[in-house]
Amino acid sequence: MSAAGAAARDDAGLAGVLSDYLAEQLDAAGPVAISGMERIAVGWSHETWLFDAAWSDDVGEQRQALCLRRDPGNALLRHESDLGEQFQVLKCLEATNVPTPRAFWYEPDPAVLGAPAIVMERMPGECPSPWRSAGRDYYAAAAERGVLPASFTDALAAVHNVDWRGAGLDFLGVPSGGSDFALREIAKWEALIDESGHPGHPILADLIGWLRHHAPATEQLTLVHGAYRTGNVLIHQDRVSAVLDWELQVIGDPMYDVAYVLTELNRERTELLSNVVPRDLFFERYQQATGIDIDEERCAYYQLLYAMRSAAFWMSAAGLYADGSSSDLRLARTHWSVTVALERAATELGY
Amino acid sequence: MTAEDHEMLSRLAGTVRNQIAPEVDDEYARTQAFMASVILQRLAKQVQFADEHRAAESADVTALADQLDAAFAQADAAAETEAAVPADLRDAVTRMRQRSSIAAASEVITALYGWGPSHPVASAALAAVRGVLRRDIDRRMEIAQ
Repeated sequence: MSAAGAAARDDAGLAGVLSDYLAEQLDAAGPVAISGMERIAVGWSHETWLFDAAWSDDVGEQRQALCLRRDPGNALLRHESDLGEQFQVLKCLEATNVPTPRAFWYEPDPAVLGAPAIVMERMPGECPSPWRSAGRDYYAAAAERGVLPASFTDALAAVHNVDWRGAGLDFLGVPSGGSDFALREIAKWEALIDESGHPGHPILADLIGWLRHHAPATEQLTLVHGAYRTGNVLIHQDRVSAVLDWELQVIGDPMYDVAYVLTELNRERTELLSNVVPRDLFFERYQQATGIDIDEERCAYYQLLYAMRSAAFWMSAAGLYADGSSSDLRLARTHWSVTVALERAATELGY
Repeated sequence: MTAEDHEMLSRLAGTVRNQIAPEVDDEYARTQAFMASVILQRLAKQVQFADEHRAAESADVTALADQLDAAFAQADAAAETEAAVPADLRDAVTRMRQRSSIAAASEVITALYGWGPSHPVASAALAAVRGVLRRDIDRRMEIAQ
C-alpha cells in the first residue's frame, strides 16, 4: 500500500490524505482545510465520515459539507455491495425527484484513500435508529405531527416513479419478465450464503425450495431501493431530505420495497409502518402517487424472501468473523441470529 | 463438556458483563466487551444442552427416516397409478439415517421439491420433515435467545 493509503487507514491520518485528494480534485489554489471530521456508526457495510472542507479557487472562498464512505473490504454484503455502483446510482438519480446527496468523486484505488471510497454531499438532517427507544420516540412524535409519514411515503413513490431507463439505471440489470426478478434475487442471496462458508440448515433448503416454487410474476418493473425503512433515510424538518444506503438497489418489482415497509420486522411496539406511517395513509398516498396497486399477496411472498435475505446476511456476517476477515464481535454474535431468522422463516412457512 | 464447563462459561460471561465492560472507557471496546459476554453466555447454554439436544436430534432423525421409508414403501405398492418415489429421494433419506443428522435433511427437502411438493406423497413427507425441523429450531432457540 502507498504511504498515502497507509496513512488513510488511521483516523488521524485520513484528514491529511483527504486534504491532498480534494485539493487535486477541486483544482484548489492552495490547501483544502478539513475540519469537524467525525466517524459515524451507521450500518455494517461501509465506514462513514462526515467533515467540512474549505478552500480557495478562482471564484473565491469555498466551503462544502461532505461525507466520505469507504469500503473496508470485509463488509457484510461482500461483493453484493459495490461503492462504484453506488456512486453511479447516485449520479443517475441526481436529475430525478428522489432526494439523494450529490456524489462528487469515486476513488476505486485503495492506495489513494486507504480503500475504495466515494465522496458525496453531506445533506442536512438526522437519521435516528428505529431500534433504540430514543429513535422510536422520535418517529412516534413525528407521526403525531403528520408531515414525516407523508414525506416518507412520497419519497418511496419517487423512487418507484423514476424513469429508470431514461436515468440510465438499466446498467443494474433488467429482469426478463415473468418470475425472473424473484428468481434472480433468490440466486443472489444463495450466492452470498455459499460465499459465507456457513453449513446451512434444512429450514433454509425448505425456504429456498418454497420461494422457487412460488416465485410470482412481476407485472411492472421499477427502480427498487431494496431496504427502504426508517433508519435508511435522512430527515430534516420532518421531511425526508435524502434516501440513503444505496447498496441493495435493483430493477424489479416495486412490491419488494412495499413489503419491506409493511413487514413487522421493521417496526417495534407500534402499528405504524416502519415506526412512522399509519397503514391507511401509506396505502392511499402510495397508490395515488404511483398508480400502482399494492398487492398484499406478492408482498407476503417477498416477506419470505426477506427472511432468506436476513439469514444470508447473518451467515455472511458470522462467516466474516469465523474466517478471520473481521475481529468485530458483533459479527461473531450473528452466528445465533441465523437461528432467529430461520425460526421466523419456519413460522412464516406455517410450522 | 461437563456441567462445570457450563458453569465456568456462565461465570465468565457475568464477569465480562458486570465487571470488565463497565470499566472500559472507549465506546467501541466497551461494546465489544458486552458482545463477548453475550457470546460466552450463548456458548454456556450450548454446552449445557449439548448432550440433551444431540440425543433428541438422533431420535428425531431415526423416527423421521422410519416414517418416510414406510410412506415411500406404501406409495410404491400403489405405484401402478402413481409416479414412483424418485431414487434420489430414497437415497437422501438413507444418507440422513446414516449420518443421524438433521443437517442431512436438506438433501431430502431438495429432492422433495425436485419431485414436486404438490404430489400427495411428497406433500405428506414434507409435512413430516417440517415437524422435525420445528423441534430442531425450537431446541436451537433455547440457545439463541
